[in-house]
Amino acid sequence: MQKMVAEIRCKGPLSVARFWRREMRRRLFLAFTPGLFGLAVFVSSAHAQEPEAATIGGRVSDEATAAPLAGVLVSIEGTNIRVVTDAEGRYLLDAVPLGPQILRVQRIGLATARVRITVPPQGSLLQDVSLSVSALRLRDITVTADAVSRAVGELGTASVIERDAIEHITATSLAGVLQLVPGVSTRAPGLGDVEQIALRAVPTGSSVGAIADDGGVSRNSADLSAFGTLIVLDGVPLSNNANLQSLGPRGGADLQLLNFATAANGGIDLRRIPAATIERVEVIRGVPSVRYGDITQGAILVETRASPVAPIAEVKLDEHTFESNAVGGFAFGGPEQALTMTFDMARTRVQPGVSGDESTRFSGQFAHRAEVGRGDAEDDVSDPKLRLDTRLDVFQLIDDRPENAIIRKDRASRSRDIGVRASERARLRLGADSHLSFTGSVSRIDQESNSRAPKVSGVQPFTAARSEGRNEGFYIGGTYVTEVDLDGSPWLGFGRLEWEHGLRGLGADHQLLAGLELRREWNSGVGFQFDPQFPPSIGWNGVHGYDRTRTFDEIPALATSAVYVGDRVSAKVGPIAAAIQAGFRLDRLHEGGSWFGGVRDQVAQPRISVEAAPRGWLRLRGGWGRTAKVPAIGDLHPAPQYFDLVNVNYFANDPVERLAVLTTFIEDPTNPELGFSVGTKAEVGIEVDVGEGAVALTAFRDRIDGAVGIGALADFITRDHFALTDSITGNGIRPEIIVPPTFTDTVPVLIDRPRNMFDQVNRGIELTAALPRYAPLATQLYVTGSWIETRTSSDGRFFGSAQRFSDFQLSQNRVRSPYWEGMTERGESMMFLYRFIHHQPELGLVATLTVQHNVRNETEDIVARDTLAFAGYVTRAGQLVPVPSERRTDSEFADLRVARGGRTLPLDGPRPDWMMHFQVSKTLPLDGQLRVWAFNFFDRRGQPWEADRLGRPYAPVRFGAELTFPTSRFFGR
Amino acid sequence: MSRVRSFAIGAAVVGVCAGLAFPASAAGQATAPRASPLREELPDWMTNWNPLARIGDLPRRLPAGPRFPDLLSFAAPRVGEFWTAGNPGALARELEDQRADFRLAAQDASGDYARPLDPGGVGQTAVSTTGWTQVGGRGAAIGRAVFDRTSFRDSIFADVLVPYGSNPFIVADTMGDPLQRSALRLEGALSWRFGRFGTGFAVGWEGQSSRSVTSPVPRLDRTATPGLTAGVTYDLGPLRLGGFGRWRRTAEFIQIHTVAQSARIFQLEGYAEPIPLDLGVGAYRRRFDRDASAYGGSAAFVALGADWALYGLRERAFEGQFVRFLESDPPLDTWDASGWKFGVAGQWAFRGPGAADWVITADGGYRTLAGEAFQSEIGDVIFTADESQLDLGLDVRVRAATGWLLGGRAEMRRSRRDRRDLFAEATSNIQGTEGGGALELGRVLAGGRVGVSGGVRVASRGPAGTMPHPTRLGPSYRQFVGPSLALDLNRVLVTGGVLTVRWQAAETTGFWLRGTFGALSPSEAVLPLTPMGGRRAWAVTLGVVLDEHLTP
Repeated sequence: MQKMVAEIRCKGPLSVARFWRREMRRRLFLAFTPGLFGLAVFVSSAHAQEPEAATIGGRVSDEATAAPLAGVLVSIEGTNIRVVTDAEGRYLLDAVPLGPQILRVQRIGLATARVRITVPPQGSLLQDVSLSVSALRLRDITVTADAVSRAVGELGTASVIERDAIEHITATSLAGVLQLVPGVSTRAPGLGDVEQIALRAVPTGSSVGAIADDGGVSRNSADLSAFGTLIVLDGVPLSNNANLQSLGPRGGADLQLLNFATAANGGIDLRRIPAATIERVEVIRGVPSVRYGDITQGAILVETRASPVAPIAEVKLDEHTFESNAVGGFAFGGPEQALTMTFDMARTRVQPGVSGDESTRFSGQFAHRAEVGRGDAEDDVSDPKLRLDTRLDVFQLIDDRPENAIIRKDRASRSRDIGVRASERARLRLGADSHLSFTGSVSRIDQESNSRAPKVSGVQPFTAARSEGRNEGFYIGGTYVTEVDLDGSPWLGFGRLEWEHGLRGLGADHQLLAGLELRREWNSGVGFQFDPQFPPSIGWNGVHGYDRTRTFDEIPALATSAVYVGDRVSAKVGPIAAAIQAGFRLDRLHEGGSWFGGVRDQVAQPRISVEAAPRGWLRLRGGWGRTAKVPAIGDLHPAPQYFDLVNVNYFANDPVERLAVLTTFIEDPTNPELGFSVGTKAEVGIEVDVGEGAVALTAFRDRIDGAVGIGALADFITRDHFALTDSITGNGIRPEIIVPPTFTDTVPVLIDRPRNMFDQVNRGIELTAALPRYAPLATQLYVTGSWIETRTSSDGRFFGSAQRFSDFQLSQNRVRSPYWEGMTERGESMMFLYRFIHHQPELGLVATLTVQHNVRNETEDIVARDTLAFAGYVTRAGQLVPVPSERRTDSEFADLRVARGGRTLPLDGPRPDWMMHFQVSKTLPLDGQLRVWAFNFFDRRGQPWEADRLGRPYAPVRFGAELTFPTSRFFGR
Repeated sequence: MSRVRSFAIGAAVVGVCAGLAFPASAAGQATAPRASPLREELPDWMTNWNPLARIGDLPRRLPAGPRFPDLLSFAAPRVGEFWTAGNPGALARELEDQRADFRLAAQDASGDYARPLDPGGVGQTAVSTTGWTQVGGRGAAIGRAVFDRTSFRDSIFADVLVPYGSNPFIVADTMGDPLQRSALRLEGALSWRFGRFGTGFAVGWEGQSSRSVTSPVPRLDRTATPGLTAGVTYDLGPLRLGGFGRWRRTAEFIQIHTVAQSARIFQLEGYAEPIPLDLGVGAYRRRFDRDASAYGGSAAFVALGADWALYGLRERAFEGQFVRFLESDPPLDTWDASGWKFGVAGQWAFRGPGAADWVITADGGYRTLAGEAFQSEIGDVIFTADESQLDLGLDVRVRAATGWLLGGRAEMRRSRRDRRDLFAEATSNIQGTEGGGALELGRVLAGGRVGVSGGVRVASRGPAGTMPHPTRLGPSYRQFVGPSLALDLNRVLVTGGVLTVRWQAAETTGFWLRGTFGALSPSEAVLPLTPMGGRRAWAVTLGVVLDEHLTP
């Protein structure tokens, strides 16, 4: 108990509640986790009986000629059940679990068919399938996220977006693809700005001073959500934990004029992943399995087109964006090896006709697959002895905002990211249903950013000293152009060893999972550089200190490790088919950038998802789990804060006579207590099959505790005042200071310390529905909808504007200044997307009409703003003196009764309204496809800002075309 | 055959790519040719069903003369409720074949003889595809997609969609910098038969986006136009009756940034002198929302040995102009117009002497329009228009067994435009008669594998009427409005020629290349403000047509 109390004191009084919450959760977990596994065993043993399954067979033929197709891979999605058709095009799948399933039929050079089937409790099902060169000619085509799909091997709520769907949303990058996820707004294609994803969260502006200054880094709900969303590309996580391409938390508002198009510490810039090369995207919005860590929100699993495909070239063009890409692959050395290459080039002009701003992306990928020992198993289709999957990804993303002498004189910025990643996925079959997998990856991104902007300020004393102590400074000011360079190279090393074992026991199918994960991220490079004679920050912002150049080589690495175990149980409980996925994951953050340097923080994460199918057409789902997200390197190792206090400011007309003396203090804002953000995800859902369609409804509540923000810590430093030897101007003699100082005072300062200071609660309801096809109109309606509410709160303190706080340094008469506590922002969104899909296979035509119906958008600050809202005051010595609320009206606190600063957000959002988009896809001769599209084709203006309402502007009408043409004939294939 | 056909289609695909990949090359036909003495490339019967056709408007255009018969592309015009009246409910009954064609076209027009709000020079490249086919046993579909890029090279003082329509509210400015415009048009119709009933709908959308190329006063304009037509037909013995309705909405948005130099905007409201709007730093925005609808009936029957189709439509168009973009804002200025539209076509096909196949098609149309312009600041109607237009055409084609083809088309248009500015107390009354003929002679050679044709056309316009005298009105009238009226009152001679070569690469795959030339030669100016000089245009089109034979 003594130890516990000491720990509470160390973290400060505001951490007590959090500490107890964590402690209670830990204890509950220790009691609860064995219970989860016990439940699984109970389910599988108490109702021990053979799980029911069925046999599915049929024939696969060519859509155009009706000829049988041999060598077609037929599988049940999300399982290991698969087979290849024989010479007659026939297939037979055994032991298919009952209930709704997706039958996947695929062959190189043909469009993959996904057929929704309902497997009967016993017996067999006959299902013939036709394949075509073009998906547009298939009878069954899914051009949106499937209503009830699951990520492979997962039970949590997920949206699965297949290649066919990707081709129907005119996306330039992964960001555009994700508009098929419930709650995500539609968007026109392009690379115009940084693209991030906020799953299950409503963006709320960080409007009130949760951060101690009006400049610096904000962490609003969208940032927190994007940062907590895991993106896995071809089995290997991406990360920006080591991305330091931001100007840091200090610098003041004028530094914000220097903008870089970067997503530092705020989620991965999705522009780097071209939509054209994506084969499949799985967005796990619910509780993910224990395989996925470094996460608080959701997981986005991206698989690129790595299997051999017939060569395809594509050209896209609209007013802003030109994109071309090519995908092709071939098998060599027999069927055991295949090589696939993808190339993509895209350019977006941000404001054509007005400025030369543009973003350009080049990406390429080489994928090599090799299989060893294909023929030595009974099922030699897809389970070789050893499978090696090697990838080499390269990309370059340039965001160039050149100077425009007319519009933006002396103002320019340019960011260039060049990334290389090599990864290997190896899967070794140990037995009939046992595998050992290794995933390893090394990636490096060279990031170069440069920004230039004009500065205007009054003349003032300045120093660029890098060490503490009193120095003679110089005067800067006037009008000049400042230039900042940020050069860094974030690295990520990732390795995972995983064992999977399937067994049948106690009347249930088990899929056991155990894994070990090591991850190390670091940054290198010359870092943040500028000419001290022309600094980017020249405002009087001594409250937070001045910026100094900083090299990234000196920043320690971030090392994490994780272990996890889990089991997926498929069983039959009475008349109900059920599946349970339960597991436990332990993430650790290590000291010193090494896995051998001790544990700085750790989070245990039990997770469980349950799915039951009491009827063939009905499924019930539920899940609960904890997740954890490691802080970014920039927060774990923030830049030192330099405070330059002016001792002497003797400015004369004659530069020879001028004297500036400043004392530099260096404060380390590193927070040794900074640890994981912890998420808690819970959801329940119901899915109903309606004929050929399906409806799914999910209610969720996600909570993030201790998300990282920049909190202000009040402190003080002392300042000496000196008399001068000669203060008569015009005599050509420079004065000298007279030591000792005449007097010394204290000046309060604010240390920008990263803290686990934000809590966020997201709750909502998601709807996905695929209604049955209305045959007379050959049209099907898909609906996604969501109602989401986000509350983000902070226990941080707000000290007023920097200008106000700086009065301490400017005026010795100022003795105290008010501070405020707490902040809560609330955002609410309700949106429906209706997609009408008209499909004429005879014409090879698919027309998609999308209606985005915005029902509700609200953002509000739940915080007192009146003059009695202050929590206390800070003294010149940096002491915080709370004032009880009942005493705030006392006359002695009259100077503290000032309104809290910050932007005032209205209570109401815009009125409900809508906008519409369409796309028409048509097959062309030679197996080509032409797609034309229009975004916001009514050119709806959206809702304007009005006195008491937020606005919701819509992007103006955009239109373009895409042409896809297989090039195999040019290569004689 | 399949290899040849594949090659042909591949060429078309490459053509499409080329058109898309070189955006600076300009061109197209999604937007109707503006300020060009050349007509749209497709004949009327292929565009009458277009759900994007303007409703309740009679735009004034430069004289272009009659259309060439285009002997190697189309055997004959089609007549019917769908092809003549545009009732989509009749498509399933009137379509029995299938066709697909791809076109890559480039055209250019230049010359001094143009109205002030027309571009001095315009270049356009376009790629398009058109196709129709039966669907199942009871349905039919037709579709068309067009992309174009247009360069307006100089002297363009307005970037509005139709600067010389019936509506007098037009925004002009003093920039005159080159513009580049991209446009996409997509239109299609589906139709089904159910016993004696036929039903169908046509939908279309057109988007345009234009911007100045290099200008200290950048212009960013855009339009979005959806359109919908729905119709039904009913067979009553030898008579087929139909009803159909149309709806069309245009949102046009113009935005002018003044970042480096000031600009002057003129919100033209007829003949009165507008108060010029001098912009400092900032942006000028104006939005035009146009709602138009029409409803009417159609009929098709056989009589006098000919196939006949006729129709009548009641049209209504309403336009509001906005300077603020609040959804609930009332428009500042409005234009409210209504009118009638009637049309008829008849076609005789017979075998004449010498085993020659004759097809004679006669068509006519009559439109009326009455509109009022309401100005919010004045709070009253400030301008009225009373206009009508009569069109007559005769198309004769003879296809001889020897391989010779002969086609001729004669057209006559009679228009009347009475326009009155109530505020300026100024009136214009212009009656114009435009008439002429086109003759085309062709020959099919090499057993139907090669076809060559050439033709000429001549037309003239002889207007009469009055316009407000320039000295009575202000400088804006003299700069922007008066010259257009003077041009409408000027005599013009239109000449042109065409040369087409077609190669039937396979039984149902043909390539063709067509070059067209046209010129306007006005008479000596008799009125002040009349533009001087001439105007010339040329167009080259490369096409691939599938599923159609070049019949010898």
